Amino acid sequence: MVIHVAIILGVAGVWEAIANSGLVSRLILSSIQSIVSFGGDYYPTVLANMRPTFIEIGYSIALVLPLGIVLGVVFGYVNTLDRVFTPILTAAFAVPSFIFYPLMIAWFGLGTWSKVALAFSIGFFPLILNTIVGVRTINRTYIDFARSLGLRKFGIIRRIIIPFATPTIIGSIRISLAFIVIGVIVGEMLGGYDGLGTQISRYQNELVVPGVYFVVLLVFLIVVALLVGMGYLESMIKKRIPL
Amino acid sequence: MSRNSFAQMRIGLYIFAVVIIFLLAWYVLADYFIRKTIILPDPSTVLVALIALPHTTDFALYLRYTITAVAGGFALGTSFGFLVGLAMGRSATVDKIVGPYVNLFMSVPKAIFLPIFIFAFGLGVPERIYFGAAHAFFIMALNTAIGARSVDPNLIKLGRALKCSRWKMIRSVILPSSLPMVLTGVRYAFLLDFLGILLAEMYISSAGIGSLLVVFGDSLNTPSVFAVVVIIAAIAITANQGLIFMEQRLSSWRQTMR
Repeated sequence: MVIHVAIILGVAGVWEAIANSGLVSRLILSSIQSIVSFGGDYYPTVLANMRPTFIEIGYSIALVLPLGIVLGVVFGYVNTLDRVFTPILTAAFAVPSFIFYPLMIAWFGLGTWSKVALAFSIGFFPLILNTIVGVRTINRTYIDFARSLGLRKFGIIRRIIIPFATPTIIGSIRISLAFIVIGVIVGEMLGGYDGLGTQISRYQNELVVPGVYFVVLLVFLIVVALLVGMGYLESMIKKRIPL
Repeated sequence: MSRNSFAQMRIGLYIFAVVIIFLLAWYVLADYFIRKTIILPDPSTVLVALIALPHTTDFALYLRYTITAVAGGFALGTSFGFLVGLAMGRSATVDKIVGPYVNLFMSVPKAIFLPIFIFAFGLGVPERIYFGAAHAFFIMALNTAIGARSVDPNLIKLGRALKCSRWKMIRSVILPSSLPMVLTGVRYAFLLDFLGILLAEMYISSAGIGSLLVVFGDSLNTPSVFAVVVIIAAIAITANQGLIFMEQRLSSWRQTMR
């Protein structure tokens, strides 16, 4: 723990020293001081741009989580569906979703929904694939045992599949959420009216270097907070479900 | 024909059917419901655009830019990732110090740092390899570390008893044991590197296959956007399947492999 505090402070110190020494142009590296003071001066603009971004993230989560989990459980449970669709989904997962963004703009316009579509296409595949894996790796004995006790399909899904797949599912929700946030931000960066990503690309074009650093670091911290929070939730749930 | 390979064939047939149904649905949707080429061109229109694509100016040059950048980023990212991963896997101290950061940056999508990379390295084609390399590095390091950590301790003891040199130990004991994980790392490293290069090209929107998407998109040339998407998807899927095949071939001697 101490060592990591030292590492982070050391990195910050070196960053500040290089930025102030004049060795590196201010157009490349902003000092931490100027990034913080940018935040102090312009936080109302940044806050105003957070709103549309968070709305887009909210819509994306509302679409990805139920669809990814429900379809993942069904595809994982039904053998034929798994064997037909897992290869197709694996192949689709190899294709970077960003390349569809120009089409999404043509379909949904430059507003909210093209970002939601991009975030969906990025967040959905890892979630459904990991949920399928989570369901497939449940010990078959549990399922056979439940069947011998007279449980039917939905009983087995409710009593066996969902509880035992939960740790894997929570783990993949964690990764999926990070993808969704970045999907929305990158969509905004590539084209949009407002939001944090649009703010980044605008500052970049206008060479407001501390502004770019401030918003990028803000998004980075949001993602890290999300990852750490979900990681904590995952370990709590894992403790409750002994495997 | 054994029962198993018969079942395999049936699954293959189902997959084929899903692809055909997808293409048919696309056709019907494009030609009978949407009927606007700008929104959704039908597959044959896309095929025509695909055939015309190599004749558009700069396509060959842009393809070469992209391939060079992807190759450079892959070489840089996987080699550094492999070395750091090996150190993390075999040394508890290195793992304690570097591990948390590799884990963290592994989960944070690197796309968000693109603007910073542009400040640091500029907009040129050769500089994009650093962004690709950053994508490849973390997944490679993590997978190599997991592989190197999972070496059977008895094999290490055996190697020590036989007085293997450090180099010999790495080459004959650690590398073969960690090969499957390393190869999985290589595959994901390639996919992420490719993603990173394309994203940089789209954001900068000059020089590269990714920039063609934006150029065609802005000029509402939707069939050509689809054509570029088809090319990129074909490259990604072929590379992915090829690397999966290699993973299975090169680790088939391990009895523990699933």
